[in-house]
Amino acid sequence: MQSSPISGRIILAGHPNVGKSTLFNLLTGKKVHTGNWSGKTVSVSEGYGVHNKKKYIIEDLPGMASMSEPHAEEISAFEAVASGNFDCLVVVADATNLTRSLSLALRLMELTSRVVLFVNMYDEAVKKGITINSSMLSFMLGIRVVVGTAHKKSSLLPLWDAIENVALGKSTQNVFTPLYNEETENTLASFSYDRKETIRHIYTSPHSFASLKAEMSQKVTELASSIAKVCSVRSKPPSRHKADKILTHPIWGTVFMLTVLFLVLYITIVASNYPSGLLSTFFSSLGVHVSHLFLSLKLPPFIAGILTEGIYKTTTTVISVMLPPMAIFFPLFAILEDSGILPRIAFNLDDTFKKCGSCGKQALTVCMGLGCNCVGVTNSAIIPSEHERLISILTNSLTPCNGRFGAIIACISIFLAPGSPILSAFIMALVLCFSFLTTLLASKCLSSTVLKGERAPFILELPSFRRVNLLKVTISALTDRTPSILLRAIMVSAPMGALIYILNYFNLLLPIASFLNPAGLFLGMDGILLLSFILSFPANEIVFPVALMLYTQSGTMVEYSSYSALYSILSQNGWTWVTAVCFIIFTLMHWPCSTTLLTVQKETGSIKWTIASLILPVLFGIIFSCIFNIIFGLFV
Amino acid sequence: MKLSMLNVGERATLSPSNTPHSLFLRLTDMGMSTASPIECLFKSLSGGMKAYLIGSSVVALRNEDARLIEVITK
Repeated sequence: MQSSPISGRIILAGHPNVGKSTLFNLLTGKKVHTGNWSGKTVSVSEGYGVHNKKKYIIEDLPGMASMSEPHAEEISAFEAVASGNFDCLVVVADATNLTRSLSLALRLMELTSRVVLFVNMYDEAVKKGITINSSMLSFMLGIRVVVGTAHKKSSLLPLWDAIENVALGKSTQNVFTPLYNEETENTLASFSYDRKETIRHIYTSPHSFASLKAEMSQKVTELASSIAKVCSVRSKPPSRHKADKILTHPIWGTVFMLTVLFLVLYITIVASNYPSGLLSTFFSSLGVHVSHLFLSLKLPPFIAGILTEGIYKTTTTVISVMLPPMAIFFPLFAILEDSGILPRIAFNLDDTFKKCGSCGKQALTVCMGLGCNCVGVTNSAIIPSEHERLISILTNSLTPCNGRFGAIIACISIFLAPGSPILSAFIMALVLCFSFLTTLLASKCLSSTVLKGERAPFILELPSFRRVNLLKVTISALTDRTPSILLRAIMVSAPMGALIYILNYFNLLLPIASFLNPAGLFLGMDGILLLSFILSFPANEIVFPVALMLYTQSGTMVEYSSYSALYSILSQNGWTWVTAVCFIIFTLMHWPCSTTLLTVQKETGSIKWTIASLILPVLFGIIFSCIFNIIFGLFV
Repeated sequence: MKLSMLNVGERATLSPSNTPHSLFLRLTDMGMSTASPIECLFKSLSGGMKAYLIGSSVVALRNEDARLIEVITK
């Protein structure tokens, strides 16, 4: 189908968090990540949609919160609309906030007549007692209007019909254009362009025409408000959610945030142990058959070793260590994301981040980093100020991603809280609080030295709370995010497994570990652990399995069947609780994985900042591990 | 008076005397206008930020930024 001719180009525009990505997924069948906070879509997504055997290119633009004073990603979205290089512009509106959505629609309608208005989230609006007269709205705006819900397929057909009608020019639309006061109209007429070009010129001139933009913006808002009043009826008075009172309470707000953190970690720790063991046993028994298969193929032992002991063992170890906590953590995190709690956390933490030269939105990227640092780095684009965005990018790897959870949890469960999942979860929460403090410290260091900058005004939108569909969120988190991150880990761990096998085959690993031993001891660990960190550059998940392989000299990655077996191996190799803590510190703070580093390079476009993102966590890791080792090493 | 001086639960309208600056322009695009009231809904844990109902959106601003917006109370 991809090679069939394209019948049209459709672009989706609208305010942030009105469900553009959800609609994009519905039209294209793709699975772009969605959530209840502004700015998730920081780049253009492109896909294909098919209707009546005709194929269309569909583009999902970043949200446009402001046309008068746009940020970088908003400028690119506006340029895409202003270029006119499309056959149909779908303006996605929020049925629960029609006035605001209409004000953007009216302004975009000044640029093009090929517009369809999709009033999304109608199910939520109905729950709030809002009904919308789509025929009246269509009549007043002079464009096709479809009212629906982007995650329901029933909205698809009427929307496609409207899009097709506009894209293929089946009928012309008599689009409503705002009429400003006489002074503004005279000013607009004084430009030497036509009306559309004048509007485009005004909005593509940042920091110019401020009074004109303010006047036009307020007039359009008033018009939008009048149209919304005529076309919608509200049977219930708007109510503010009581949850906001709790979440922003000086005591209960803090208690709530810490409890949520603890619960998420506790559930992840307790619930991932059992499936991890099952997967490990399954892959071990399957590994026997895989070995037999390669033997029957009469492959040379060296090649068979690379395939089974190197690639197979590494990838299955990564899967059994990484998959269960990830499959539990992501749905829990998605619930927080979809409910609207995350922006409240950013709201509460803004003051703390501000003191460190950043802003509350960094709290969101830190939360994203808990899932995957690449996602945290990419989503730093939601921070408009350049130096604050760089701070967020450079410090993100100080937040342990899901791939590092397994090793940290194992160390806590063995050396710091044996036999007590509740205490383990509590210590894990402390570890995360420590990583949060180091993020703040690093942000402060950067903002006071190399990333000094003028503080930019900070605006944070707090979306309405949404009732979360637990089943849908869980399935979506499991099917959309987990496989892609797992696949990435497998893609990098497989070749690394082969390399480790080859190095071990030629007896090169232990000499290198011996060489690194003084440095490792200085950091409260040993040469084997330091080498394991280096070899785990492609994927943090394999640090522990590589270390165990070297400790046991088994020539292959070792999966531990129980914490007691693991304790036995580690204690025989000189591990104490101080080694465990130093290992945890260095796991929190060392170089970012290769994929994160590539993402930093892509986002900053600078080798200098990419190197800085590599050095910064290493420096912190060295300093903190050394200090801890020097102080507490005396007691063991 | 300054928007930052609005206490939780209080309402005001935008003063026509504001000079348009970058924050003002973004807020007008978010629905702030002389025709609709602004209400202070709640403040953050430390009190450094307040959330306002602007149009039908809830927008949080730092107090030092809200100081840049002139409003009129009845």
